[in-house]
Amino acid sequence: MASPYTPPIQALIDEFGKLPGIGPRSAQRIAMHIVKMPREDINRLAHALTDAKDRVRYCDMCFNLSESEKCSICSDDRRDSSILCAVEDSRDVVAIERTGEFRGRYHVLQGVLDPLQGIGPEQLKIKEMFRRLAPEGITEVIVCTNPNTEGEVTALYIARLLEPLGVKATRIASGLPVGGDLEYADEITLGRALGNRRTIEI
Amino acid sequence: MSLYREKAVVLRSYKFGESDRIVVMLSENSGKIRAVAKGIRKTTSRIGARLETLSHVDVQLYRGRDLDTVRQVDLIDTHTALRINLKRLEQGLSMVEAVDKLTPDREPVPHVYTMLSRALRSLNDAASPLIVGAFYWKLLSSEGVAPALDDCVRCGSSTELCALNMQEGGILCRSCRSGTAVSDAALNILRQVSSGGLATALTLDESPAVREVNQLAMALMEAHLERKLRSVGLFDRHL
Ligand SMILES: [Zn+2]
Ligand SMILES: [Zn+2]
Repeated sequence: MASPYTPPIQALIDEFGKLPGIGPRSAQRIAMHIVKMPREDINRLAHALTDAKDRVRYCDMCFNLSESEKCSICSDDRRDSSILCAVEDSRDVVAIERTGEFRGRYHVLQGVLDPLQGIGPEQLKIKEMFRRLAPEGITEVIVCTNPNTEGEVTALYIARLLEPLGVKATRIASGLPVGGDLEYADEITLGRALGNRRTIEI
Repeated sequence: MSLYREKAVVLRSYKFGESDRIVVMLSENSGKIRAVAKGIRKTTSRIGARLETLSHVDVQLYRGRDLDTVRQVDLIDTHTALRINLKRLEQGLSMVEAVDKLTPDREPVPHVYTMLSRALRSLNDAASPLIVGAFYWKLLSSEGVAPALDDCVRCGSSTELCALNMQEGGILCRSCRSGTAVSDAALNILRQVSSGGLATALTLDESPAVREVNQLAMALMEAHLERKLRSVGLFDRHL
């Protein structure tokens, strides 16, 4: 069946359709919206796209997205250099920074171990993380990968390599979402929350 | 859309869309199923943790044209001990990986389902250095490709059996030998595994013969699959 759209619009729909979270209907809506936009808005959008591509790179130290060789967190002297938080993705850095609870530095692994999908340690930035330990005087690595099988595999793998180096390996806790009701929690999360219980300090 | 219910072991899952996952499961009666679990990656998802790899579940699904959709999940066993121990996690993943690579979609293999769910439960209850080797050997037997172990497959001799050759279809004696060398101790374990002595074999402690059987079974499994198994030895690999 031939496309009902003229080729330039069909090309636009195809490009948007490749983006994460955008289905065929959304791609059509965005494409139709774009062709109706004023010229100057289009120019600004096009510039923002190429500018982001030109100026964003990976930090040489932590592999987070950065504008320069060293990202703003790695070049901030006020951060605690002895504690490192290993995360899966740049978006996790943003999520943890929003908590305001962490004053150490990060290392973005750019994925997790997933042997069943063929992702091994060589495909991740694990080697690069181990190279940072001694020079930066890192004494603790918090493995902040997602609490699923791949995240646990990654955490156990990293902990095993850290052990002979005398660097402490810790894992982010799993538990109940704050503000929720106990009765709605699944049995695994609730079980973990019980296992990770803490003494009430008064 | 028709609704159906199955007991299943989760083999693996992968991200799909913004917050979904495709979960690959081996079910009791419908073989290997691929199903979308909607919203499973959100922290508000109630089924989230239940559909992790290695979980044993009772699941309700909508039948779709190529992909089914998960409607409800009840946990049979999450196999906690497999998730917190490096060795057992590696062993569990090694077993589900082989099953995943061996079984085609939607072709009922109830005997494989039974073997896998039993092996995972047994490994969850107690450490078992031999479990992956024994499980692979049993899988190969059920595929009809496990090597014959009784007499030399060439000359029929029952003494001085010392080598295993896949192409020849089994064990070989000293004068006919080719393929991989096999020790007497390893041959005894293999015979035990293939002739009703599985339960005893699974309680064996780590030993050179156990390691030999594991390596042998893994090599045979990889040869049969014509692919590498990535979970085997995962945590022994260095950077
Ligand atoms: Zn950085
Ligand atoms: Zn012979």
